[in-house]
Amino acid sequence: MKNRAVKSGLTRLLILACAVAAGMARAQSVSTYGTPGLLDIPTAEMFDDGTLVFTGAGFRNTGRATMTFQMLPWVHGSFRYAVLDRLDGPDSTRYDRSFDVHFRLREESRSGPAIVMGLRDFGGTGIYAAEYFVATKTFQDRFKLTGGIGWGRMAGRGAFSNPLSVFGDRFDTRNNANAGGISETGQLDFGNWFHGDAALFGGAIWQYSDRLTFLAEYSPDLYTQESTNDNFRVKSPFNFGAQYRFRNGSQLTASYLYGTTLGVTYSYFIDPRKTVAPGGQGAAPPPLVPEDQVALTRPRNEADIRDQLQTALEQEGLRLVYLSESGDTVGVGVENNTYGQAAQALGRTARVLANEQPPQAEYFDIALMSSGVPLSAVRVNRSDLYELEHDPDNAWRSFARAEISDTIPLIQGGIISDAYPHFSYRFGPYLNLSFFDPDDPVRYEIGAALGLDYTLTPGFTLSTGLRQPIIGTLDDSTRVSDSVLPHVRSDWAIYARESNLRIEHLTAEYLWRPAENFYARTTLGYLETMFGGLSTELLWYPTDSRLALGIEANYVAQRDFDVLFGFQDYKVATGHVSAYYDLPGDYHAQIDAGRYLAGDYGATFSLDREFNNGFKVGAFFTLTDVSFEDFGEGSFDKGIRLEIPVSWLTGRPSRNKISQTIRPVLRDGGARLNVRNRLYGVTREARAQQLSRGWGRFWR
Amino acid sequence: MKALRAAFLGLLLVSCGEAQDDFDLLRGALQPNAPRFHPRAEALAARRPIPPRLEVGFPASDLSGVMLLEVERDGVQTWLTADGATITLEQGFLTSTKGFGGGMAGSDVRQSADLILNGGEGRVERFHSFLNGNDEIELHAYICQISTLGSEDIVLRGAPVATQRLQEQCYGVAESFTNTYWVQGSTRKIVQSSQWTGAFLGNMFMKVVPDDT
Repeated sequence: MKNRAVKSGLTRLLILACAVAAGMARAQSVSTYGTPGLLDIPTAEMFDDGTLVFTGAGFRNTGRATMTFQMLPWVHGSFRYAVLDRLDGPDSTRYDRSFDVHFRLREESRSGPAIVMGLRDFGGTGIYAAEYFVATKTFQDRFKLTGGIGWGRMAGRGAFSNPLSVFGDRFDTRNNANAGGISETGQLDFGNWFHGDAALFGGAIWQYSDRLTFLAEYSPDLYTQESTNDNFRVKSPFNFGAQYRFRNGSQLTASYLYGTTLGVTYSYFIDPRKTVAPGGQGAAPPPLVPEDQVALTRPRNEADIRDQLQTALEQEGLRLVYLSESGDTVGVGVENNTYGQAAQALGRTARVLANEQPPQAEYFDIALMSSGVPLSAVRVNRSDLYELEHDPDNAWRSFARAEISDTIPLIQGGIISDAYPHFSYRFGPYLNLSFFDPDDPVRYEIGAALGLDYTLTPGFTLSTGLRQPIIGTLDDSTRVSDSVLPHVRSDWAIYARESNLRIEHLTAEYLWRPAENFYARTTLGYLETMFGGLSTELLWYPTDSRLALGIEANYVAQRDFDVLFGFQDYKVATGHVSAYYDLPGDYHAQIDAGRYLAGDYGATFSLDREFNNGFKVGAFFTLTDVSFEDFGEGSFDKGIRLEIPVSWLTGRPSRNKISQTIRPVLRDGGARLNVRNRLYGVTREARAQQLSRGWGRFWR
Repeated sequence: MKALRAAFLGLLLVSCGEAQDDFDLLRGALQPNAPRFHPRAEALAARRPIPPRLEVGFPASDLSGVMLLEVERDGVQTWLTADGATITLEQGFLTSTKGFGGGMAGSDVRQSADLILNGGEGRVERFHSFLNGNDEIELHAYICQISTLGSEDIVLRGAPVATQRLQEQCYGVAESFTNTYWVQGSTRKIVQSSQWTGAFLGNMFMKVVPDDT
């Protein structure tokens, strides 16, 4: 019976695997803009779902660096940073940031082409602004023909009056994209989309072998703005190139562009689902010892059992903080400082319990704790462990049998006597990056960081973080903020210049559970590098819910530029109500509405794609009652963020993550307090949605 | 991937966490082959009499070593390496590998075992589940053809042992592999084998080390 069930499940999986294999067979060429394309023109192709593509392209006086993310099977978005020498005159360099988004309107079929609508540079300074419809059809697996119609920048050579004018005269003319100057950058230019003249473009791809592809195209782009000051000239609309695909999947394209220049493009593809070591390289879990042997070797008294349990858990990188026994049930609380997936910590704890507890303990109630506060609890039947340990479908079957609940009843005296106070420290190097300063596009700071945490009683922690910069260019910035708002973030250069040894935070924090499904936090002290004060938060998050709601209120004062002990005069009450929603699939949405640091009211909208292994790619924007004009360059706060688990890079268990937020510009509107340990981030890993996603690691 | 790793290892310095962890990672990156002894392996190696041993090797990556029998429960043996990786064997058939990088999570190899241990030929099905890079379990099914390759004497600790050599050729949707078994004639037990661990590491070579007695 069991075998048949496994087999029918397998058949479904096999069909799925076939479908995936078919979709991956195609090679993908990437244009100088870092999106699917030939050399300078786009094609109607998509990358594989979830792929992250980094592209660098260079030709005469122009460099483009692009990150493209295939966020849905039919949508990809890009962020680009371009360096244009001599665009505005012989001795000047223009740095340009732009965002693209592409939608596939039709998938390629046997008889018809794929069709994509592209919006290039829809919210930047408009130098690359173009919209287009493009179609691509594959013939005999190796030939691809592409043709399309483009507006904006693409309406150069052979431009004709807009065919969309049949829908109204307003399509006839296109305003100067950059008319509003730098103050209007960042606003969506939809008034201009698909307006003005249009032109046709096209090209062909011949995939000579799995490694080598030849490309030829006709591009109507005249590089009008570039040619004014001799940045780049166009002599011919024809471009030719050859693309080589390396063994690791990355691609190098060499091209001859516009009859005047040679170009090089390199693309690197990352599939977030693939790690260096798929099953991980950390030590294997302890195997279950036969129950009769456990009975023979068990220690005589309870203190011995506890000591042995503590040691065995420690060996698995887990800290025992709570233990209670009643009849056939053992309740434990563990703090996981080792595993990225809470499910793996649960699986290890369950097996240690089975190997250490006397046989009459039939049920294990395991609470995942943080600073002594239970985040959730999972009940595991001892007999299920023995039955499923070697079952090929044990992950799913054990998840189906586990009972996830809000917490275990914490009995007085259950907290392990030597668990608190608990001291922990971190020491190591740090790297801080700042992007897109026109004087130096990438600024950095490297130094030493020390973190100290002292948990006195469950929930109550004193904590500090110190940083000593050693080398860097962050403090070389001499830019002065021109913000008309309170300078809550835009004085970052002054903070960098005037500080040396920094107290990143120095706080007293209390976490507690006011009621079932509720978590609360109060933090007092220097909360982050630029602000200190009082922060309080309440979160409602039922165990098996996709939705969580939170409210946070803070009263903070701006810290001195030396990031040591003093405050400046600026004080503000700031806070938000937040809704978090775990969308089906890999998506996660968050809305925070409230008052920001500069006293402005508004809301932040975030959407992330989160892979099971913790790799995240997301984007956010904030709209507040600060006018676009008062906000300044960029018009409103927005950015993209990447989070990569260290275990994804090393294959070894780790809870550490590398995260980087990239904002086109950091200004004062829509700026939120960076208080540590926001409750949703602390609790989420232990709630049912997240546990189910990581359950594949329960037996690892 | 290596270039990417190197680039990110720099960035890794940003990460916070237990200092021990960071330094371990750094050391691992600088000296990937430095030995790490796992406390469980140390405890097992100190046990007397010495637990049963298994010589193992990954021919594709030129790695080899000895594993010790840690636990046997319900006919499944768990063998441990010095750095804490394990494999499980059921009647000598590989059913899981953990800690080697690739992750064979579990297997159903009963059909293969029935035929091979009885010296038979024919077609069987086997199933393996793998932990993938996205922390999901993938179940894979394979159709296998078992054939005998005649008898062969192999040497175990200097003594010749008469075995029957059998081969199992398996085909799945995305992968195919070949396992080879040397089954001792007198005991009908597998004494030497080369078995597939998954796409990440390929085949693993195993040879039992007879007891001193």
